[in-house]
Amino acid sequence: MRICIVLCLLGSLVVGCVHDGDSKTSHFEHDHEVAPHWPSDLADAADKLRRRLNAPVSEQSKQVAKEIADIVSWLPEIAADTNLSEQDWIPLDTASNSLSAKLQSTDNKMTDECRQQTVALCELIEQSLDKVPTQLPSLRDAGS
Amino acid sequence: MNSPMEMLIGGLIRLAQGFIAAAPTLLVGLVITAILRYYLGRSGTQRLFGGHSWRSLPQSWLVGMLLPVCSIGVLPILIQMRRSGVKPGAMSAFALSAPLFNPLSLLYGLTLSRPLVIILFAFGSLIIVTALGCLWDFLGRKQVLAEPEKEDFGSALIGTRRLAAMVVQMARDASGLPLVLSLIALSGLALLAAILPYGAMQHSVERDDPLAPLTMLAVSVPVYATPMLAMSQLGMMFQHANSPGAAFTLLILGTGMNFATLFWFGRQFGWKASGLWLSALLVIVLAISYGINEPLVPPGVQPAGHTHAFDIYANPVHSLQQNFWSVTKEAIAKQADIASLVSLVILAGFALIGLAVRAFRINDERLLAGVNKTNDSGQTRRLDPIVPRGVIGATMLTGLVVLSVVACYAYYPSPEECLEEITLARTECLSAATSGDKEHALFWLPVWEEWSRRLEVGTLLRHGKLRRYQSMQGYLIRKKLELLEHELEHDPYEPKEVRKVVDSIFATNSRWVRSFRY
Repeated sequence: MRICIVLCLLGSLVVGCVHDGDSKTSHFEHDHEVAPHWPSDLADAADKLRRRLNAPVSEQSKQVAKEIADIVSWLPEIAADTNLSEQDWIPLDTASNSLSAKLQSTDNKMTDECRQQTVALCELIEQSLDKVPTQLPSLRDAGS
Repeated sequence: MNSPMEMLIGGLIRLAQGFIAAAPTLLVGLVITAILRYYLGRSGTQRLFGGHSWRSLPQSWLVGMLLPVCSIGVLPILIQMRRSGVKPGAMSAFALSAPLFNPLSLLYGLTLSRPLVIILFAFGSLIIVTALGCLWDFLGRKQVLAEPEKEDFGSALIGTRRLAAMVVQMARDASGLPLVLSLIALSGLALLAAILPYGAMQHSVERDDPLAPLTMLAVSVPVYATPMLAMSQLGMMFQHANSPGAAFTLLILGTGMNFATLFWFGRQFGWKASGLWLSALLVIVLAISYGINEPLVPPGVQPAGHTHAFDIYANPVHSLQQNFWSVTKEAIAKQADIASLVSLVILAGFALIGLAVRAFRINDERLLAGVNKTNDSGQTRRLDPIVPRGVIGATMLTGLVVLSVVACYAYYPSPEECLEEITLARTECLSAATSGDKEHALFWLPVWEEWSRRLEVGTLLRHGKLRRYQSMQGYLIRKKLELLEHELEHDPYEPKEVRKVVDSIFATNSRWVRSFRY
């Protein structure tokens, strides 16, 4: 019992000692990390996916496959952050989830089926781009 | 490292915050204890927890899941269970499961990440309490069990005398051993605050950190967390893509037990047996945590790189703050909501009555004096039958569960009401942020965030489901609110950056609100 408590306290001490709080002027200065391949918008997502799909075979490393899987899994969030209506968002979300699950099951390996599905997803994104209204929903509602 | 002054002030602040947070569920714990003692009695209590049958472990787990108590509120109940001669395994199962979930926190949990995760967590807790209960019963076989109460006091009491006895019991508990145990439980928070400097846990439980569950294990043992606090922390962990294994560890150890649980088990069943029980608990939790760490990673969430979810376990005073009084005032004011304040006043009242009761030596024997004469002389009348106390006790306990379900509807109002509150919080927060009134904006920001969760749970409660789109917009609004919080905390204030985030929040808010209106 005592040994356990001592171990817990030692663990807590280790957690405490790695902190270097004194050099900061603000304790909230850490911004959220953003991955370098995070797409800026929907169009960029399709573009980033296509570029990675079309990369020469020699350059298609595990890292590229991982980045494709990342972008596919982020797509519902990126699409939801546009003025795309819920009805137009659902197909993107469904396609993205389906492809994500498939990539996860193949350990991000780009099988022919995955490749075809990624291409289809890019096309779906590009079709959705035309459906994105320029106005916010609240402004559209007020105008109608 | 914290300075000695920071250790002292920080520790005391966390102790006070913990006591305020524990007050409502401690009060519920005292009520349940009194019901067990005077209505269910020894045999009824044993039946409630499955007696000596194989059902005792899962049944105690289920009873624990339904009753709205925390790991401090469970302590007086454990004392009563011991008095009633409940099996040690059942006590262990109840002690660990009761604080984990209650109807309020379970509903909250179902809207976080994928509902399956919370259901798996609940299932994981059943495995743990069953394994530990079996171990505890095995160890208990070699021990002589404490003598259960020789007399079932409640059986002779009836009517107002029984109610008076309940009040006396609650008053004695509020000023007796459960109070001491509560302070022991909260000492864990004070200890952590003394050891961990301000914000020390911000980078400790990242998804890709293999030591994250282990680190959380070390911190969770002394932690005291209410079920709702743990659920909101789980929500932040999912939002930031922190380690799911660490989240599970926090839920089971941080919410399920505290220093007082260990102390009480040690005193009752021996330190060696309790040490074995704790070791088994830690090993099982750690094994499950590492087992689920990879598969339960939420898909499509970009790790934020840090989290403020665990700032509450580190020291609240940072090295740049010199005015300890204002820090203390602010930290305690943040914690003191209306439910906690009312509960604190009632607890204080009970504690005062408890002191008086002790001074005047009022106990069960005194309340029993003369009761037999009254009962003997009274004949059973057809329209005024004596309802068996077990029936009243079971009705009261069921009523408590029903009441907590009703409380869910009050705590999570209809989407329309939530949206009204959100409009108010949004207006206050965004106008203050753009005009540079950081403090006002930072006051309303968590209010907005809290209502965003209530909106989701309220919708789930009334419509039976939360659409993926609604859930995603909620995720986005909370993510952006956190970005705004970071911008507002930046020193110096950067109006252009703040404006950018505010515009983005405004757009998301428009889509988010619309998804709940149509």
